[in-house]
Amino acid sequence: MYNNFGNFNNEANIQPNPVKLDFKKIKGPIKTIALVIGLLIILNIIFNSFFFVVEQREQVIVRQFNEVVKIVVDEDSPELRESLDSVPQLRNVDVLVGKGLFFKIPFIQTTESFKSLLLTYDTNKREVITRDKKKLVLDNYAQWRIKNPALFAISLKNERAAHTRLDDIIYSKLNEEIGKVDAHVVIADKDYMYNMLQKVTADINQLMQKSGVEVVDIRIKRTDLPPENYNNIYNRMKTERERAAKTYRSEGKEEAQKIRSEADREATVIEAKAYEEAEKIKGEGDAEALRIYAEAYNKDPEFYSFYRTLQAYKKALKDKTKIVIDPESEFAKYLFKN
Amino acid sequence: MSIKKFKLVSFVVIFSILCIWLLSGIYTVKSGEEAVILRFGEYVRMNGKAGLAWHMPHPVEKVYKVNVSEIRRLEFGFSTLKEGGTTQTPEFKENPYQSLMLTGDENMVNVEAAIQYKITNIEDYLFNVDDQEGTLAIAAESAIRRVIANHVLDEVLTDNKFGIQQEIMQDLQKTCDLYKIGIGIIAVQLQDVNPPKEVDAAFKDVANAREDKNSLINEAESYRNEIIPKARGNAAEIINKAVAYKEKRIAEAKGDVANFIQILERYNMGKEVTRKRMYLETLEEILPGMEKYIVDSKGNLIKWLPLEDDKSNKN
Repeated sequence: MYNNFGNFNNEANIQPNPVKLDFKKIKGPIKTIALVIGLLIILNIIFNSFFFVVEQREQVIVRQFNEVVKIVVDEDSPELRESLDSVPQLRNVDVLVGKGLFFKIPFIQTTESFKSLLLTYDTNKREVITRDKKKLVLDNYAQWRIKNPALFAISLKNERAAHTRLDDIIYSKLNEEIGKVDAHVVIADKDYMYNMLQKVTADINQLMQKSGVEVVDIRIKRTDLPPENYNNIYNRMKTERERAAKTYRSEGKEEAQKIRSEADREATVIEAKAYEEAEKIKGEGDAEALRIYAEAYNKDPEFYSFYRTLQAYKKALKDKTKIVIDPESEFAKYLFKN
Repeated sequence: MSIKKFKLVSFVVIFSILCIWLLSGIYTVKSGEEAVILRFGEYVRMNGKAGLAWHMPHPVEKVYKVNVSEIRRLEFGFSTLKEGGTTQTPEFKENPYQSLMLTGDENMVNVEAAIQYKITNIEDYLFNVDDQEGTLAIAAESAIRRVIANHVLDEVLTDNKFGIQQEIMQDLQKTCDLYKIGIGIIAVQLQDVNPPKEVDAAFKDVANAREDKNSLINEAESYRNEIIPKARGNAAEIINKAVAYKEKRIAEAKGDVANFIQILERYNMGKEVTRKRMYLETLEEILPGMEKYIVDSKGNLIKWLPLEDDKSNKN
């Protein structure tokens, strides 16, 4: 493009010796730009040689001839120093804290960055056996971070290796702990499991300390019974429900029977009480009637017996009654005397 | 002169490049968003003010923007394929592998839940955890399963849904705080909580049985409502009859007595006469309809007067 442009101007211009002038005319700004770009590239190279950037999500180790000489971490702590001192080759490592721009010796020192974030390690599910010899399927996960990038770099190198290592020790540690308790504790005892996992986390941190890894949390994501148990569970659930249904129905019958018999009882009592009351009332009537009779008849008892006898005759001796009359009787006297 | 011109042109070019570079540091913060500015990777400031702002251009400063007022949603045990609108119903896809879990009494249950959360601390959210959504999802799954396993099936299905939601929410928030993930849980809502399909019929039958129980009780109660008033009616009838009997007896007695007293009065006027008359009157009244035999009291010989025998036999 550069040449074409020049040639085009060359042909277009009629002035003598125009080539030099035109060449200069076009070359000026481009040269400047090229100069600027070149300068920037050189600056960049110098910058990258003398400085390195630690991103907010990173921590960095600085190597000099493959030997770790410097680490840039989130925070310094006595434990960190201690863990560095425990490894002879890391005894002289400088610990820098923070993020941003850091200085290094160009060409001699190289950097490698590691995540300073909380990382998730999700295991595959697997079977464990509890104290009461039951099989459970557990699926757990762990949250961990690279605590000491120098140790991490020399012992594990990368996250995948860390996961393999975590898998090994978490699996065996969990197996060990779960073998101490019964299945129902693993399934349903939240507090026990919480404390157990805390203990497992502490134990694993002890083991992982030399690898520069800190496990923040280990949790069981899923606790399942093996799929071959599902049919049994479903059967049990079914029979439990059937039992509940039966209970409801027989409770209904029981209640109904209670209500019915109570109603029957109540009705009987109501009627019996009414009978009692009625008899009382009738008795009162009888008594009152007797009292009235007695009051009247006591005025002349002898006459009353006579009067009453006559009335009784009227009632009793009717229609074809056969009567045998004693001639000495009062009746005969009346009959025959006159 | 032309060389001066070249210098000017060069200056303009460099100047405009510089300007463009500087202008590239302009960014906008939408309302509801917060921006975090990193200088050479290091967190330097946060900008929560909506509008135009400027940061030192690349490669010095970088900006990350996150919507912190948006309520985000995490679905557990199902996923929304299509959100519902005014004219269409939403579509969901179930995820039984995720939703099927054990309860405390070792039963199985399908639990679907929706978790609403918000980013509460943008710095924590951006710089503490590797995979924020993934970490939250895994923590949520763990919390939900753990809490469900801490309760028995009946609590999960009906009795204590609210308590369980609260417990999941608290546990999950505790986990988020432990991980310093910068997320606040707003709500945990249990959506469908069902027994597995394999045992669904048995569960429905329990509901039917409950209904049966109620209907049996209702029937019995209606029986009671029928029989008790009837008994009360009977009772009233018995008592009324008794009262009637009483009144009748008394009234009759009074009548009888009144009759007797009248006769007695007359009797007292002439005792022998009245007595005889009454006796005869009675005989008059009763003898015509009777067969009569007269016996001598001294022997067993009976003389009988067939006074009306033939007549009565013939009749």
